[in-house]
Amino acid sequence: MLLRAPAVDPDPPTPELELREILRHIGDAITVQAPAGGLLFANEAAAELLGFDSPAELVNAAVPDLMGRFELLDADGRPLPLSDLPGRRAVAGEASVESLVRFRLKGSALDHWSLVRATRVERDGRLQYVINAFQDVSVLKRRENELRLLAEAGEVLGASTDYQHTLSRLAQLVVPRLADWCVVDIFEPDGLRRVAIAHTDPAKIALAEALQQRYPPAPETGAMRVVTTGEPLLFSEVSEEMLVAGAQDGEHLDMLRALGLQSALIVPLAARGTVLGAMTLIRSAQQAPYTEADLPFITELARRAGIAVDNARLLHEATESVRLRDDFLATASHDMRTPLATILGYLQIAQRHVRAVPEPGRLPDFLARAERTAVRLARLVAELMDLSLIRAGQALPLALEQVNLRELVEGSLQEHRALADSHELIGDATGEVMVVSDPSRLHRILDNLVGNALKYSEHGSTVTVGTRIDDGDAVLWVADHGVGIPAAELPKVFERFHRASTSVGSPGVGLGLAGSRNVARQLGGDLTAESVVGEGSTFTLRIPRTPPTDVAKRAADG
Amino acid sequence: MTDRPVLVVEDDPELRTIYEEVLSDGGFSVVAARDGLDALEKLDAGTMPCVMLLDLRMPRMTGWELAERMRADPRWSGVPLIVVAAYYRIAEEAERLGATAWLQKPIDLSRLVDVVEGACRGSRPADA
Repeated sequence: MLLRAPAVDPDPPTPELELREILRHIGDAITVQAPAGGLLFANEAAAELLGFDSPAELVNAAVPDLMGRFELLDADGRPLPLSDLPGRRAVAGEASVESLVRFRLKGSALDHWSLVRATRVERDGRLQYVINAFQDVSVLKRRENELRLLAEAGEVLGASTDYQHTLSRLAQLVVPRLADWCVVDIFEPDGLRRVAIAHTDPAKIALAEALQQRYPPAPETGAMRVVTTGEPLLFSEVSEEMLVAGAQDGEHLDMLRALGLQSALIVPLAARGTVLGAMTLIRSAQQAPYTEADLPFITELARRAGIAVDNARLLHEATESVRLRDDFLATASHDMRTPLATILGYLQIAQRHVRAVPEPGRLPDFLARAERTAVRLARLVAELMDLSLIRAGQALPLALEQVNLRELVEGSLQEHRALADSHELIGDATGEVMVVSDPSRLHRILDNLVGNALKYSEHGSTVTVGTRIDDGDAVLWVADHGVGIPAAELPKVFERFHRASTSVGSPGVGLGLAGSRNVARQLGGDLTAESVVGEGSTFTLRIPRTPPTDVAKRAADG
Repeated sequence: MTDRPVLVVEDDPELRTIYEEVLSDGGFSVVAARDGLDALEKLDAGTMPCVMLLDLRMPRMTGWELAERMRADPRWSGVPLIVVAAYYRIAEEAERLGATAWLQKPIDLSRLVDVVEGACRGSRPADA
């Protein structure tokens, strides 16, 4: 026998004593196990690791006592039977066993991961003893768990823009790994709002909620204080004295005690310099109390949650402001229609009356100009209303009638020539093309296409506008000699409407290509583009010559 | 042409004036009402229109309510309706109210005369 239970030995150093001294100073825990299972030796590190004051105490402890004190878990967090401990397996016959074991000392905060290596020592084929070496890998294991939790939290936080749901899932993720109890409060103008709560024991949630309602916490304490200061709060130990001091009455104290608080950590949820709320983590006596060492990781987790809340809020605000703008568009264009109708009405009546005047001078011309301008204004207002309907995903009210596309093309060319002389505008409409459709919408699409062609091609170049019958359909087309659009980007020009939501509302921008395509489709047709880089683009509006039944049905015009 | 008048129901006084002017110019007689309630009174007093121009959003009684009451009353259920409004869902509403036509404000006045003419020609006295 090389080693023996440590005892006070005043004799001069012997090789055994030297060895014992060496083992004493090794950081890893070492025990030597007899074939019957009891310990022959343990070093200082082993005593400390297993929660004993001295190696002697550890060695003298009865075996069932010793192991009964621990909750043993395997690498995956499952309970580990005693017979699977490396030492037991080595005693049973395996030469060398290595495995990861988590030791949780019941009723204490002692909780660590060890890589346990057990080696069987035989002499003449008979088991002499088993050497157990414990390497404490708690720090590594904790770090690994933290990284895994951060990755999972990242997935949860990025999964939805409903931050209440997101925070609720986060709380569930945190329990029980980081806490027995997790509460997330969001700061709102009238105070904190509890958005998430998770507890290892669901019965405690009801108790916590009852407590919150009956005894709302004072504003200078807990989560509210963290929100105000932006600094985390650590309560390594929630003592009985603290509960007594914090309780408002006996019943309050009973409820606080029933919660089983042991240790708490409250961290701010913040983003862009603003504290948005707080996450409260609470551990009962079954887990190690929080320490300063827990702060960096939990603060980081809360920081990520804060960013997710901030993003969700920003998105909500953006969506809301777009909705408000669309509502405004619809209301504004509606409210402008009646006065516009009055102006146009009187102008039309005045023109009739002026025909009866013998020498009207320039009056007919002035009235005609005023009417043209009012009509243009009416068109802009109608376009605003169409835009808001399209954005709301609603059908446009169509007014179908016989339309002569050649006349439409010529009218549009005339208007654009009058407005801009930067390009050469050419009409290419040989025959009459008659369709039953909504002339104001066709006019607007054409206007838009011509406007785009002028905008995206060089001054002095040619823009051609034409109409023809093609494969039984009516076709309107606008061709420019501009820079062209790369093939890969061609489908995207019709998406702009959705993307560049900022530019859509202004009247100068008009329907845009996406809006024009939407209107074309509502008329039963389609708008497409072809382009050659360096040569130019052609936009083609194709519509049926008589409207499809669903389009005709929507247009209740008589 | 018919002897029966066009009933114009419109809360905006300027538009009432314009419709009256244009329709009488087109050879129609016009009875104007400022809202649904006013129109009901005129109908009760014996006005039997060949067609009714109907605005939707009006104080006291809306166009929707007036149309419903007329549809429920055999004396006026046969009067053709032309919805003339700024309302953005005008096509659906016109269909729901069983209107023969709709015109969205601002309207083309010559078109108004055409549509009224078409409706009046097809209109027969209800409950003759």
